[in-house]
Formats: sequence, structure tokens, C-alpha cells
Amino acid sequence: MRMRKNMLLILTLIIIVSLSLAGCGYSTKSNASAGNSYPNQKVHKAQTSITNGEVSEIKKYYQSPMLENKDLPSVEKRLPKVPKLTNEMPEDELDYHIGRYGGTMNTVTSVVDWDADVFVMNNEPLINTPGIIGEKFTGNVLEGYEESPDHKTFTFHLRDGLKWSDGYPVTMKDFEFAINDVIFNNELTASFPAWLRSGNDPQGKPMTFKVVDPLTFKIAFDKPYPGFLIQLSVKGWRGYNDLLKPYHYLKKYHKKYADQEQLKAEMKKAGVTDWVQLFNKKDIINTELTHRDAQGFPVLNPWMVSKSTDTYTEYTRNPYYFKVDAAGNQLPYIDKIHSTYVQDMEMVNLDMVSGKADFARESAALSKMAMYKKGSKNSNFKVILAKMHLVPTTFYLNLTYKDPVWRKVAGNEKFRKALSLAIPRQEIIDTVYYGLADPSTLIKSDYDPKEANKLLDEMGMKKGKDGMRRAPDGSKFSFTFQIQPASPDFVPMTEIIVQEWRNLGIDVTMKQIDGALWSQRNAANSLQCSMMWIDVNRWYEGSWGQDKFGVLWNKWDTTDGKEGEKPPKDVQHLYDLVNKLYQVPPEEARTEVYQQIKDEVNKHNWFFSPIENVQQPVIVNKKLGNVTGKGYAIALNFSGEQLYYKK
Amino acid sequence: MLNYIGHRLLQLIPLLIAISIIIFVIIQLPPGNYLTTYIQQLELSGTAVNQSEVLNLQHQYGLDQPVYVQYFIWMKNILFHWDFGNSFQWQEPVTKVIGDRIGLTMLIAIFSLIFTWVIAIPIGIYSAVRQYSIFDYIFTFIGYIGLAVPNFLIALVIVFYVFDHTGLAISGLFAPEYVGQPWSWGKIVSMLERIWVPVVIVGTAGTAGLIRTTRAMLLDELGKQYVITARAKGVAEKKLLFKYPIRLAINPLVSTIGWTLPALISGSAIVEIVLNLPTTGPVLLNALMNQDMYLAGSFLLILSVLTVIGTLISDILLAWIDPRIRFGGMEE
Amino acid sequence: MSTGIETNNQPPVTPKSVKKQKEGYEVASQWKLTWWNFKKNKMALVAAVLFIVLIIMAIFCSFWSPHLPNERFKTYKDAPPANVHFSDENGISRPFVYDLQLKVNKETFRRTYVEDKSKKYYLHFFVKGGSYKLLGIIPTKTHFIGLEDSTKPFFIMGTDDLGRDLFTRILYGSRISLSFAFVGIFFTFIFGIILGGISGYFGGVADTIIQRLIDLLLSLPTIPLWMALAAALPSSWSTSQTYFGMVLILSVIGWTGLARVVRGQMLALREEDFTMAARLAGASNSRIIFKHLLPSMTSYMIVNLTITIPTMILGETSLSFLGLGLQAPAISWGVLLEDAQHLESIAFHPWLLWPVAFVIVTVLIFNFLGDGLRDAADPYKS
Repeated sequence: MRMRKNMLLILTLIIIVSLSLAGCGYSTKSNASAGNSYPNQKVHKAQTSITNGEVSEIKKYYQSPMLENKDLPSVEKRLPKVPKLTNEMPEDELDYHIGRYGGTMNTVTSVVDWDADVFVMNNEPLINTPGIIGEKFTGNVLEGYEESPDHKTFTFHLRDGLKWSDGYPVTMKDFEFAINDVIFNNELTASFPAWLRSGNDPQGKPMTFKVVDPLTFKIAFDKPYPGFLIQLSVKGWRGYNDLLKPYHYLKKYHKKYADQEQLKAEMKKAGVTDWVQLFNKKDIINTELTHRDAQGFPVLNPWMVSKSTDTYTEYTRNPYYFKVDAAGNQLPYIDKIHSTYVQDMEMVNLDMVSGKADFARESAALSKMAMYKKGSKNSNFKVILAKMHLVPTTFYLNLTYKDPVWRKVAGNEKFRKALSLAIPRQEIIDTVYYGLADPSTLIKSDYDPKEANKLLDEMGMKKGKDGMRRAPDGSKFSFTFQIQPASPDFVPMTEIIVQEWRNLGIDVTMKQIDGALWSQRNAANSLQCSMMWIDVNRWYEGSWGQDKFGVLWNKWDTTDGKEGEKPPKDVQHLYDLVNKLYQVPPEEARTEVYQQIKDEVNKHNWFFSPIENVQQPVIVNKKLGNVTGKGYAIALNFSGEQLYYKK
Repeated sequence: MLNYIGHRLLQLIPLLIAISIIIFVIIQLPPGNYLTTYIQQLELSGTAVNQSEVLNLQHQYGLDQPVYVQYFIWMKNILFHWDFGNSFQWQEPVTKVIGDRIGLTMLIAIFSLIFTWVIAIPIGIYSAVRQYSIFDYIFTFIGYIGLAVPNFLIALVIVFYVFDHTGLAISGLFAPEYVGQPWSWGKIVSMLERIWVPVVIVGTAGTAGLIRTTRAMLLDELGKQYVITARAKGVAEKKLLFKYPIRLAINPLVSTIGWTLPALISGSAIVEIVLNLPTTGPVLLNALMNQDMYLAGSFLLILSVLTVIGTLISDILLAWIDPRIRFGGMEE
Repeated sequence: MSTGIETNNQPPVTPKSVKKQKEGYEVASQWKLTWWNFKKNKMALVAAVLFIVLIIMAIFCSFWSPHLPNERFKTYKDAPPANVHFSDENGISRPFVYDLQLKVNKETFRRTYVEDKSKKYYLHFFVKGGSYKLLGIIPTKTHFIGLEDSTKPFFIMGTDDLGRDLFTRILYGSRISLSFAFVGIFFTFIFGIILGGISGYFGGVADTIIQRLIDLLLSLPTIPLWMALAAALPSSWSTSQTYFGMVLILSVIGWTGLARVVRGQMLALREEDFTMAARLAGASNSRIIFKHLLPSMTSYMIVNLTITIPTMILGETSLSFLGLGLQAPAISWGVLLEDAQHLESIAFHPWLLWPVAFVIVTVLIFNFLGDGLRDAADPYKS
């Protein structure tokens, strides 16, 4: 009996110790309750036209009650002289309402320190294109721009009185620092980015940068580069961060400005061995703005990381944010974002269907629609369907794979046409996309296995004893379809297609591999057949599978012929057209050039993009205002500062 | 005896060095490194990452150095500065990442252990005493079910049914209003409302083994001479059973607690992922899958050291009890 | 626990068999004694029968299954398990099923099926269906059970999202899941017994080296090893080939637990009188090991074997969860369970959970078999 007593004692002790240990991680206080709007607040009247108003007509500015009684300058002093009147969505897509302040928006993510939904919401480019369409360009962080008639020189105007989130003014020095001391510093920037070279060409001449006056600077190229505007706005979600960095904060980590002794002390404190490491650690780039060490880093975004724990990250409004609505309310309307980290994707979705997320796009999938509908019946959210900004599934045959027989067969357009004819698009749309997509118009979308067999017979691919076709020269012909399960539609779709191709007598097998391995194999030209999504919906993305259907050709193109293989004429023509997108004015690029590219793809069948117009579910709190299903789903994220909680 | 211990302690040094090297190498065996995964994740969400940024990150994380240099830096920092490195994913020192979670992990582990014992030992005793009775079969069957059901799936099903009936998502260890709050009575209640799910799932998975051991040991004891003698002398059956056999049968179980702890800390990671518990298992798993090498490496190193020391202690104890083992190694 | 206590040589439930047993007790062979003891455990007996059923099911899976594993029934996606009727409006009838009609609800996004009472299909044994090769050799079209028209809906356990018959896939899956477990265990055992045996019997330097090697191997993280192996094995290998390769390679490091126990047993056994006698009689080391020591450990090894196999099967399902184990297009229980791991499966297509039932039953079979064997293993003890 004594033994048992002792054991009990030990166990109780252990429990007490672990309870107190468990407590250590949770000793700080927070107030993470959702939707606590200020019940008595007045909704201000619009002082100018909501859709195309003039900031100059706004006489009085308002701020969130959260900022009242804080030790802050008045809202007029925090805003730039000419704040940006928000217009993140085109008028025909969103009927904008003046919002109310307050509340916490809950989001869910399955990745540590990264929440794609918040990342896009927080994204602030220098120039904006409403609705991410790439049709109209307006100022954003910058007040405006002028483009020279030869499309070589761009003059940009800084908003007078624009301030970082710590209250420091944004000055020309911040641009000079980011450009001259970071981008043009070859210790910090080992390879000068292509998008800052003439015509987005990896071999083009780097831009030149010149400060004109305290509010104006010029960027010039030696060749026309009208696509520079789209580069500055939404392409690649790069934000303002590459060309604009808080000099006052970063100078003490830069060799050129810092005191050597202090730099050494900082390096020691950070546990790094050289100043480049130190600077990179302290310089929070755009993609790192959701990281926990972004706390305290001056930003221009609507929200900034205010707290980061094991299980959630909290973002609080930036009191110096530069946008206002037509009523003079400083944006964003919502005070806080609470992003919960959930380890498993299925549990992310459970949180979504149980109403724990007020906004969820990135993790929402069509395959879960029935679940969302079920959950939304007696919960606080609704599901809206909006346009997806990309084509979620596209197949590639790697035409430069190192196997002469393969190259001969896959290089034959008849072969690719045959494979395309065997893709049952309607079945895929019904099964995988719940009928919420259309057959692609990018390539011919007929389903005709008979014709496919005929084409293969014509090629001389005779069937062997096992019922599988041989290569025209009589040798064995088989290949592996390697995919990474990056999204839930990949596996079922591949299974269907592989089976259809096998029915043609093509000896293809499917194999799932890890994502990192997939990227590595793709870069090393060792994938024969693969799948990834493709960004062909928006003209400016310029992603037409170049690095997947012809890995070596693409390498040749990006290394100026140093590596890889010279592409054939038709592929080179495609490359030229894609480059042309940025070398002609946007209105020409988005109509003519874009159409020419589509025609080329249609003609040559370099890849199979069986579907288009796929819809994307977005989960939103029923009370969220300024939500629309008319545009791209991701544009809703992009206009996050306009969202508000209705009464 | 001292000689034996000294001998074993000396063997420990090369062993630990070898373990640290092998762990470090194996963690880096999968293709790519942490950055590959990180950059791929950014690219999948449509974000442009240029070559220069990749090079910067590589340099920042020290991944541009040869593996052996990375190893020596890691070891040097551990041995001389007691610094286990930083986690790439969490941007925090490894010791903090683990330390923040170890309390709750131990709590769940201990509750599960108690749960397992409470279920398994009575069943084990009963099924030894009433071998082949109908209740023996029923109880053993129940005891084994926990082992037979894939844990993560049962977790998912439980979570779903709770959601289906109450509309609540019971993932995580606390209700949303208590997350990030200091400990309070409400928070403890909230935790107790949720902690039973992992405890039951993890606990039932372990019952089968324990039932089997208890039953076997008790059967052995009951067949021994002293029990038969006692019975012949007319000792009451209840007393007979509790006086020695059960205590003797449970003894070896008690002695194993020491080194089951390392296993429990890393143990039921998949269940914990599904239930979204803030424990160490998922962190380790995640670190391994994403090649967060200092986190994974240091964590594994700590676990290995615990295991090796556990083995050493149990070997020394065994050698102390049973001289055959002590001299076994030197006889021939 | 109030009444008297029977020890294991006097089971309360089967007094008759005990009596019978006693008659030939002294002259019975060891196998016979084992069998007698084994029979006493009714659970184990049931498990043994089910074990044989399981093996037959796995070996002839293509015959038992009504369809082919990759056959897509485009009009019967996510169809529920077949509702077999035994009576129609005229009273009792031979078993039949109705045709199914798809109803898609545009509001709730759910697919449901209703029976089309106008079309009736009778069940038949030995029907002609999709062609396959029995045991991989004999080409045939005969399936054990099904409908005359194999394109009509007869899905014993429903279909998955691509319209494939789940029951068929489970049967095919049992083949891979079981055989891989057996192969893995086989190699683990070979290594475990040899190295554990050497360590325990010879002792000395060999023992020290093997023991420290075990310590080392125990600390190896398996997940990065899996990932590395998946990448290192030729990419032209199919998923099952790759997985098979990984099982083989990992069994090379998975023998440590067994080796430890074998060593312990060896240490104890070599001090026993019979070993001493053999040694004094001039028997060689190998003779002592193979003729005397290993046979006295067989019981233990068999038990360990039956208990370890289920952990391999469960391990396969967890690896599939992490995306590291077998993956589609291979068919195993773990792969099938991947489909069941979605909330919408549990909510709307719960029949996708059927593979779990097979996993549970299999794990229970092996455990009860192990228990029975353990009790029976030492027939002379009582």
C-alpha cells in the first residue's frame, strides 16, 4: 500500500509541475473576441461621390474609436495631405457602402507564420489596378505617375505627409535607400531582378533612378517598358517593399550608414556573422510581413503584426494608414485580424464550417461545398462563389525530357492532339468541380477517343501483345505522370486522365511525390509528364507553362543561351509574345498580344488546360459588408481594408 | 559494479557523437532544404520570389555552407553555449519552441498513461484470474479495440460528431475565448472539456499491450509454488491475490515509466495534428517534413539522449540485480 | 472476485475438454499439446478461422470482387451501398437490386440516389464481368457474385467519388496491405534473430557492438528517411514498387526491438541446464543455437510476429495520412482511408469508412491469435 501512496504522490506532483509549465506559455493577456463593434457609433455621410469622388471635397476625417484617447497625433496629422480615396474594386463589381468601425476578423491558416488570406489583404502596391484586372491604373502608396510618350521614363509622385506605421514620414531617402543601397548593392542583391530591367528581359539593362524633388522621382529604361506599371501594381504580389524601405529603421543595420562598433554589437546580438545576414534578418520583405519577427517593423499596410503565439497571430490596425473612404473615415474599418494556426487542413475546414472564420478563401475548396452549405445553415457565415484567378489544373508533357524516343513522340503535335481528345472534360467538371467550370476554350475541348486512336495509328504507334502502343520505331513506350498533391483536385483528375490515356493504349502510370521533390525534379528536367495550375486568366501574369512543357528551352531563354537548349521557332515565338506583353502599352497587351498568345497555344497544344472559368468558394461572415461575388475571389482579399461588420 | 558503470559511461561518448552526426545527416537526406519548401510554398500562392531573395535567405539561414560546417557550428553552440539553434519555421530558439509546449504535452501524456492503467490493469487482472470466461473475452475485446482503430481517424470521427451535434469545433485544447488567456478556473474547465478526446484516443491505443503484459505476468505468478502453497494453507482468495501476485505483476510496469516518457513526448503526433493540440509531437513531425533542421535535429538529439540514458539506467539496474548480465560481457 | 480462483490449468468454461485432454497428456507430442491449449481460448480459435478467411480473401481477391478496381461507373459516383431486396410486391423473391437514379441538389451541393423501381436486376453467382487474371496467370471473366449486366449498380459497400466499387477496392487493397506487412516482418525477423542471437549467445565484443548499434538505430528519425528513400529510388518505379523498396530498406533498421528481446532470452537460456548438458556433450555452437536455443524461443517469436504485423498495417495507414506511404493509384487500405479522412466523407459518404472495419478486424485477428499462441506456447508449464 505504501508503494501505491508514493506513486500517487509522484503522479500528482508531475501533474502540478506540468500544469504550471503549461501555464508559462500563456501568461500574456489579449482580448481576442470577434465582432465587438462599437454599438453607438455614428455612420458618417459621404462627403464626396463614393464611386469617383475627389479627396479635396472631404473636409473632415474620422478615425476608429479604438484610436481615441490613445497618445497619437490627430487623424488629420496622421493621414497624408492627400490620402487615397479607396477604390479597390471596379464599380460594376462592387456596390460600395460606407462602413462602420470595429471588430476582429478571424481567419484560419495551416502554415506557421503565414496566412495567405491576410497576406493578400495586407498587400499594398505602389500603383494599383482595381479588381486586379490590369485595365485601369491608379495611385496607391504613390499619389500618381506620369509615363513618357516613348514609354521609357516614369515620373512618380509621393503622397505628401505619408507616414510609416511608427509615425516617421516617408521621404525620398527611403526610396534612395531601397534602390541605391539595397537593390544596386551587389552584396545585398546578388542578381539584379529581371522586372527592374528594360522590357522585363533578364538580359535587359537595369533601370536608372533619379530623385527630382522631395516628392518626385524618376525611373527610366533604355527601351520602352510600359508593362512596368503592372509590375508595380499587382503582379507577383510584391507590394511596395522592393522599392521603398524604412531608412530610419534599417540604417543602423547597413554597413554604409551604421557605426562599425554598433553594427558588430547588433550582429552579436542577432547571432550572425556578417552584416549581410544581419541586414536581411532585420529587413522584413513583403512575403515576411506575416512572420513573428515583423513585429515593430515600420509598414504602410492596413494591419501590422502585433502579437504572435504558438497558436495564433494577431494583427492590429496601422494608425497611420493612408486610405480613406468617401465619408472621410480612415481605413481599415476592422480593427484587428486574428489568424489562428491549425495544423491539419481538414481541421482548418472544420473551423470554417463551424463559423470560426470570418473570411476564408485560400483554404476553401469546391470539393467541400456541400460541407460549407451544411455548416452555414445554422451558423454566422455564408458561402459565395466568385471567379478563380487561375486555372487550377493543367497538364504538361515535358518536350525537352532527355529521351530521344520520347522527344520524337511527344514532340509530334498529332500525339498531343490525340491525348487532348481523350480528356473527358465534362466528366471532370461534373466530378471534380461540381459542374462549376466550363470546358476550356484555350485548346480544342472535344472528347473523341475514336479520333484519338486514329491519330495514334496514323503516327505508326502500333499496339503490342499487351495491348499497349509502341513508339513509331517499334521500341517500348511508357512514361510516368508525376504530380504533387498540391490541391485536392489534382489526384482524382489525374486518375481519370491516366485511365483514359491507358484506354488509348498509352502506357502511362501516375505517381504522387512530395512537393519539394517535384519542384526539384521539374527544375532538373527529370519530369516527363506533370500537373500544376496555370495563371492564364489575367493577361499580365505571362505564365504559359514555359518552365514546364519545355524545361531546357526555358533555361536557354532565361540564361541568354548559356544553359539549356535553343527552343524551336514556334516556342521562341511564344517567348517573344510573352515578353511583348510588357513592351507594348497595357491596352494593346491585354487585347491583341494576349489573344495572339492564346491562338498560338491553341494551335500547338503545348499543354492541356482542360477547363476554365472555375469558381472559387469564399467563406464570409454574414455581417461582413462590401463583399461581392462578381469579380475575382482574391480581389476580395486584396480589398480587405474595405470590409466592415454591419450592425 | 563501478567498473561496469564506468565502462558503460565511456561507451556513451562515442555513441552520442555518432548519434548526433547520423541525425544531422539523415535530416538533410531528403531532397532540397528548408528553403526549397518555403519558396515553393510562396510560389504556390502566386508570390514572386526572385533569385536574389533566395540567395539572401540561404545566406541568412547559413544554408550556403557545407553540411559539415553546419554540423560543427550546431555542435559548438550546443556544447559551449547551450544553444540549440533557431527554428526556421517558428523564428524562435529551439528551446523556446519545445519549452512552450512541453507542459501540455506531459499533461496529456500523463493523463493518457493513467487512463491506460485504469483500463488495462483491471482488465488484465480479471482476464488472468478468470481466464477464458465470457467477460474475459468481452473485456479483452474492448481493450484491444483502441489499438485496432487507426487513431487519427477515430479522432476525426469524434471531432466531426461533436460538430454535427453541437455545432462546435473541439479542435485545440481550449475554447476560443481562452486561447492566449492566463490560467483561470474557466480555462481549466474548458481544457478538461476537451482534453478527454486525446486522452481517450491515445490512452486506448496503449491498453492492448498493457492488458497483455499484466495478464501474462499474473498468470505466471499464479502458477508459482507460493500461491499454490498459500491456497493449500487456506488463505482467502482475495487476500491471496492482492497480497503478492498482483503487486509482483505490476512491479515491472512501474519500472518502465521512466523511459516511456521520451516516447510519449514524440508519440501520438498524428492524433495531435488532427486535434490541433499545442504539443511537441506535431512540431517535431512538421519540422521533419519541412526540414527545419535545427528544430528537428536538436529535438531528436534530446530524445535520443533521454533514451540512451534511460537504457543505461535500466541496464545498470539489471546488472545490479542479476550478476549474470554484469559479467556476461566479459566471460568468454 | 469473491469466489474461488481457478488457475490457468483449470479453465472453468471447458471442464469436459480438460478431462479428455488429461487422458493422453503424457504421451502427446508437443504440437498436440499446443493445439489442446490453443483450443481453450475461444477468441483465438475464432481468430484463427477468420485469419484463414482473410488469407483466402486476399489471395483470390479478383475472384471475390464483383467489379474491377479501376472501373469507373460514371453515372454512379458516390453511390451508397447496395440495398439488396429479398422480396418484391409478389412476396419473397430471389435477391435483387433496383437501378439507381442520381439527384443533384443545386442548393446543398449534394448528390443523392433514389431507387428506380421500374428496373430490377437479380443477383447471380459466378457471373461474367470484367476480365482479369486469376492469381496473375489464369485469364477469366468469372466473378463470384454480381449482376448479369455488370454495368448496372451493384456496389456492396458503395462507390467513391470517381464511381469505383469500394468493396472491390478493399479486397484488392487487402492483398497489398497484408503482403507488405508480411514481407516487412519477415526481414525484420531475420535480422532481429540473427543479430540478437549473436549478441546474446556470444557476448563480449560482439555483444557490445551490437548493443550500441541498436542504441544508434533506435535514435534514427524514420520520417526523413522515408522522404529521402522516396526521392532516391528510381522515379520510373511505380508507387507500390517504391513503397516495397522502402519497406525492405526500413526492415534493415527495424529489427532492434526484437533483437533486444532475443538477446535477453538467449542470455537466460544459455545458462539453463540443457544448454550446459549439450555443451558438455561436445555440441558445436551452431548446433546448440539451432537445435536447442532457437526452438525453445519459437513460441515467443511466433507471438511477437503475430503482434507486430498489425502495427505494420496500422503504420501503413498513418504513413498514408502524412502523404508518405503508399498513394493512389496503388490500392491499399491506407490509400482507401485517405479518401475517408475528409469531413465531407464522414458527413455524406460514411461508407467510405468501410476499410477501417477491415483494418480493425485484421488487427484484432492477429492480436487474439497472438494471445492464443502465447497461452498455448508453453504446454509443459501446467
